[in-house]
Amino acid sequence: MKRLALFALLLLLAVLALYPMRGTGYGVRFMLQLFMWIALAQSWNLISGLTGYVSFGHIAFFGMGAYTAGILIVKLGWPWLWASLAGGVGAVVLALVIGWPCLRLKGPYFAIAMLGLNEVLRVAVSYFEGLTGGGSGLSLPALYASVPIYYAMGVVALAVTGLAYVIVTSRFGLRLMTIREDEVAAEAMGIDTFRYKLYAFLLSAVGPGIVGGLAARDQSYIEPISVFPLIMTITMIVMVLFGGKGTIWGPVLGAVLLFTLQEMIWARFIYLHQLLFGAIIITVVLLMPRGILGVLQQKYHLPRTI
Amino acid sequence: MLGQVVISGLLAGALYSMVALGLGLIFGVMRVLNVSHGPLLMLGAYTTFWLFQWWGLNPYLSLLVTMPLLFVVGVVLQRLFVSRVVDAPELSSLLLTFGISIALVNIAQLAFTADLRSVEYLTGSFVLGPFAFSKSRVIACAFAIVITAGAFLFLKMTRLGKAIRAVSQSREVAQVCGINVARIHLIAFGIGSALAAAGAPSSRSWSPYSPRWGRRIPSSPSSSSCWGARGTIRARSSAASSSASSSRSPRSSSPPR
Repeated sequence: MKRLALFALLLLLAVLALYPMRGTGYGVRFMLQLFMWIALAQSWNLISGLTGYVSFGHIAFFGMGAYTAGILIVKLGWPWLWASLAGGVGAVVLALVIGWPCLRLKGPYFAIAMLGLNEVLRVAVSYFEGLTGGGSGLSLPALYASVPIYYAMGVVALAVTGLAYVIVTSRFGLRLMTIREDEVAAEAMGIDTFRYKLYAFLLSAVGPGIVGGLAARDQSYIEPISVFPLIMTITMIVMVLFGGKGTIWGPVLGAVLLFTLQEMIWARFIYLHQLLFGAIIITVVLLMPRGILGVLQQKYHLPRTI
Repeated sequence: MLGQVVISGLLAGALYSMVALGLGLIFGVMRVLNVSHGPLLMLGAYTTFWLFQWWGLNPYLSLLVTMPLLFVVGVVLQRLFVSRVVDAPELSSLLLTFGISIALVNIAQLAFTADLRSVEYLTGSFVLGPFAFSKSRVIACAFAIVITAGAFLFLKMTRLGKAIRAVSQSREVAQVCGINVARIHLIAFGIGSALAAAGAPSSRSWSPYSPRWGRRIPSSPSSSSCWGARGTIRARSSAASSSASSSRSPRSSSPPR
């Protein structure tokens, strides 16, 4: 069974690796954005799905990565791959600065603090016009092929999912889940909760940072409102909830299903898509807060490494 | 210049504090951070606009329509959706009210189009020495003070107000004392929404706006609510005034997107 699953996974990866040779331009771009959403949802899952600390402004790391990479590419002429990795580093530094004070907050206050971080960054980026181009944005040199970005995004999505697997199956993951279930009990058992929360937070910032840099390169133009939108944070949270919070494959499943659904809605009902998206959010929250995999896990006693 | 900023900030702060009062009431009673507070204000603002447009109704008089209307909208939202997540982790209520918020904005865009609208009412300023007091803001400030004081007296003096405070202090004890907690939740959400609508005539008269604007305003009221959420109404009002005067610098007073 396990070997079969591994074989299927490798087959899927091979198909995805060969896809750009046969795929249409739209298909490649669709998959590229899907990889981006998988990486974002999976990263949010690392902090919020495992420790229960709701990051309500996780897209701030995406924006941080996008601007770090964008500035390095435009001002210093770095190649996009290195710039994007630097974007990941930038996001981790931001996570360290913010996580240090904010991870001591409990309950809704952490969520509000993260929401505030996103707003503050957006305004700060608009303010420092010399570096960031301010409200008129930052134009990157023209991009001729999106296939390299496709592979880079795919590798990031795979790496973040692999990281989730490693964490969930390790003692570190167990500690994080103990914090989620009962933080006081975790402390009583000798877990340095603040330190582990901070580690999880830092790890959850890497993916969005790199992906932000890649997305900036892919779109060739970034502006404050396009890289710090609250709606993207909400989208990745809903993806994780839909698939199954705290599981390994839940965020992937949620991202694939929800992104495809959104694309279909967007194409058919252009005037109604926000209303329908709102309806999807309400439905997911009210009817299946445990997500698809969460329900299956409970019903069929599936292992937690799913 | 600085004095002018402080004056504008204090005048706007009174209004923000009134709007945030509704948000704080909902948060205090149910521990639900209502992200859809801004869109509710936006609905109130559109009602004001159409009443003004069709019948030339004075924006402040139209509150007699908009506040009860938003009370009903709030009660319906609470009954249908929010009541189901009151005891769930905070993520559920945040997401749920966000879903309501984008749905409301989209409905408003379909119904009213995305055009910028404004009510031409009380334009111009009183000039006093070197300072200008915008007429609409002075009236808005006075009105906000009256409403805030009214809400304060309501919570302090009436039986219903006492019941609301009791539920926010301890739901279990309130229930044991014979208070119908679910009903108090309905009323609190209704009053919170009505207080959002109370901001409609004032804010409408100094900047034009569109449905999307409803999603952008909550950043100020929600920040002041989290400053004042734990404290009293008085703390909340002062937090709103100070955050408004800090955010109302000339740079940020450009029209909202």
